[in-house]
Amino acid sequence: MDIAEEARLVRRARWGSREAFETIYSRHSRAVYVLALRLSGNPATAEDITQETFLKLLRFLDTLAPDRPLRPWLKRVASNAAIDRLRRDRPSVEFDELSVAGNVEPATEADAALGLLRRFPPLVRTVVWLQVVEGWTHRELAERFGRSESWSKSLVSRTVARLREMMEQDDDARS
Amino acid sequence: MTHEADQDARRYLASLPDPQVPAGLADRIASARARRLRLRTGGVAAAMLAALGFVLVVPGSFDAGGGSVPREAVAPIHPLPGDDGDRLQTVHAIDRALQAAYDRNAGDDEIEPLWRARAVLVEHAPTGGREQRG
Repeated sequence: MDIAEEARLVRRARWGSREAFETIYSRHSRAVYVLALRLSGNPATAEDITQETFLKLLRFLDTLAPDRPLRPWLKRVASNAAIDRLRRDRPSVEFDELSVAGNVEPATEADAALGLLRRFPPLVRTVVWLQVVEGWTHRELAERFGRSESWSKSLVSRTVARLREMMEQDDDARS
Repeated sequence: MTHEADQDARRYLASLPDPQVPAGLADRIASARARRLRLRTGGVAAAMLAALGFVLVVPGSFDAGGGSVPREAVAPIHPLPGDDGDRLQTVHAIDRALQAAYDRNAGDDEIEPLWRARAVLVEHAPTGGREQRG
């Protein structure tokens, strides 16, 4: 989307325009929801995170820089919300746990969106997705999870290696 | 992790299907947003009315030249007299016009003058209140 047009939408939403807010929602909600679903692994939680993200957008409209695209900001907010939930709900899970579980064939739309990642623990899935797909640095991940950079690097490296093995096994099973 | 493994993983993850957003979510967010806007608008309106009432009853609080009433005085809010009541009616009319403008997706060139007119009305509200002094 054109940044100038997005800035105009943000300005109108800031003044209270329902239509401007709805336009922003229609353009970005899928990206936010899908990210939240992949990080949380749960459609209901993903809905909650998406709602939280867009309400936060409403609250911080006055402080957003007009020359910056909205989507990275929205995704960052959604990611942080997912990480907060993960740390709050599963404090006892070992961060470097790499056990795999689950069916090979996806049973639901959410399973399909997660692919082979659904067989990894939520923490592992979150760190890998944010680093490999969303481009978070290991330093950012380490700070956000209160761990070291080497922890993040090791976790991603081992998970990607395991993921690749699973992809090959999956290919073999299909051929 | 090798570069090749990284690329394979990235390609695989990027190829995963993106599900649609659940249909009811937009309504749920719209409802939550409307609740918050009502709260915010109510708060702003209350603050504006309080400010308007204050400057009407305590003219010295607005008059840079000062007066017999100390600036520190805090007066209770009273009903707006005569022409200031009309002014408040006009402010309400502008609020309705603003909402209607938003609803029909009016342009900035229409909305901004409404906001400016509203600000001017509120800013120059205390003239009728001077008669209350004494």
